[in-house]
Amino acid sequence: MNNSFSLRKISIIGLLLVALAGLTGGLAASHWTDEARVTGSMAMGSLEWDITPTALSWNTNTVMEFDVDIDSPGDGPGATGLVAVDLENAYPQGYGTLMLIVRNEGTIPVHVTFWVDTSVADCTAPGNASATELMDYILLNPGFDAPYYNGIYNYNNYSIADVSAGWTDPYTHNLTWWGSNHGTPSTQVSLEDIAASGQILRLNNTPTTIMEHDADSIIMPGEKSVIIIWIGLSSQLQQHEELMGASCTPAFQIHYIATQALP
Amino acid sequence: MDRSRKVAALIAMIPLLLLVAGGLAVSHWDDEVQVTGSVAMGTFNVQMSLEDTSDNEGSLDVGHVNAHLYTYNDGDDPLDGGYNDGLYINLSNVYPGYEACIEFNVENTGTIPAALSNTSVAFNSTFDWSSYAKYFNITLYYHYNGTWMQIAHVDSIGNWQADYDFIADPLGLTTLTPGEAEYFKLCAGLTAEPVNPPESLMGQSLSFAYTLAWIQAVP
Repeated sequence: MNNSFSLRKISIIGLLLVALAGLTGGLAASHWTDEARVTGSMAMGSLEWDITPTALSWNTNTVMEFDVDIDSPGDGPGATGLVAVDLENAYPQGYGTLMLIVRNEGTIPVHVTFWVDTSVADCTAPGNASATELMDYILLNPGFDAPYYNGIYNYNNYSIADVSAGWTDPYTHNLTWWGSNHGTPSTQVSLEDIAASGQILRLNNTPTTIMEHDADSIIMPGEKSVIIIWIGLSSQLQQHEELMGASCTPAFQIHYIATQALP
Repeated sequence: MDRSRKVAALIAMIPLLLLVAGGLAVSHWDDEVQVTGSVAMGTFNVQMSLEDTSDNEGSLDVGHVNAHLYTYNDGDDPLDGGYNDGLYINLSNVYPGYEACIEFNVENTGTIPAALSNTSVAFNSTFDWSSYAKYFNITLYYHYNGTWMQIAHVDSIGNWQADYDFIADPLGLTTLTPGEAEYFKLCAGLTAEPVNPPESLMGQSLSFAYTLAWIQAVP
């Protein structure tokens, strides 16, 4: 009798516990909820560009010969387009220009910078002449740009890179800029200057800005711009006949670098 | 009369006795006090409204942000009036340094108080998100006393970190009374120098779902 009573009590207590648990659970679940959701997506852009010479190629007014090798840049920030210039049959006051088209083929603005590497110069000269001395008389403007509209260069609108105004020419080279067809005369710099003073064109290994036709030095996606490389020989080369027949292959390399423009 | 007949007679009298007894009961005077009640349930619902979109571009306008409201069915209750409980954000042509911000309101359109119980972000990407999380800035702000106060962000390993204890809610920010709205801002973009994203992110895409879970405030 006692045993059956105990069993009954235990059963009742168990049932009460089950009921209590259910009640508690019901209370907890009874909170109403709602959600607000923000669904987002981000698609990254891309930086792609290339450099190609125009149909003009080297435009020399003389028999002086230039040769140029261009390595097209790859994709991505910091991709470098390499222009290696050979110089042969040079003579005082000879000059030439090369036009390169820069295309922004990506989806974000690029900022083109450059630096000149003279360490690659490989020069030869007849007799006892110092071949590398020829480097003292090579003048270079590694680039200024002009807007490019539907295949027509608008020379009236180009501007010379501001950095060129800071170039110095300790040898006071006397070379007349005959650039009536190219606008305002430019200040050139000798390769010797470039090699001797890293502070001129290569500031602490930081490339120097060259693209200046837009206020922000930017080539927008889908746009083109042109880099005009000018190279000439100083008139002072006339006083160094021992350099006749000297040549540099290459004389220098110009590294053009595209970086993504910040907002 | 034998015994069996007596029993039969008694059995036959039982209905008669019951009728008499019922008659006696009905014959009592009575009255009733009736309490008539009705219970109308409240509604629990939050809705969003889009306030503004912007980015940090100046003249170099190549990145784009757009946003629109939609109805996100959270599955809790089809009758919760979940209209405009979703906000879709699309950032395109994103690049290092680009950041877009979307300002939105969350309003308690129900009739009972709501409290923010949890926030979470889920990512889905075409690349290994965990390896690149540090290059993404995704931050949630709350407009408080005229300034934007950061309350949560994605950390350098891709986890959603609360910068404000919205459960304890010491400033009383995240409880909405009926009709009340809170002003949020979600900003997303890519880092720039000195934490420059690698080229391998170019052309990739990332999607994310940011959820604000609201729960009925306990009385």
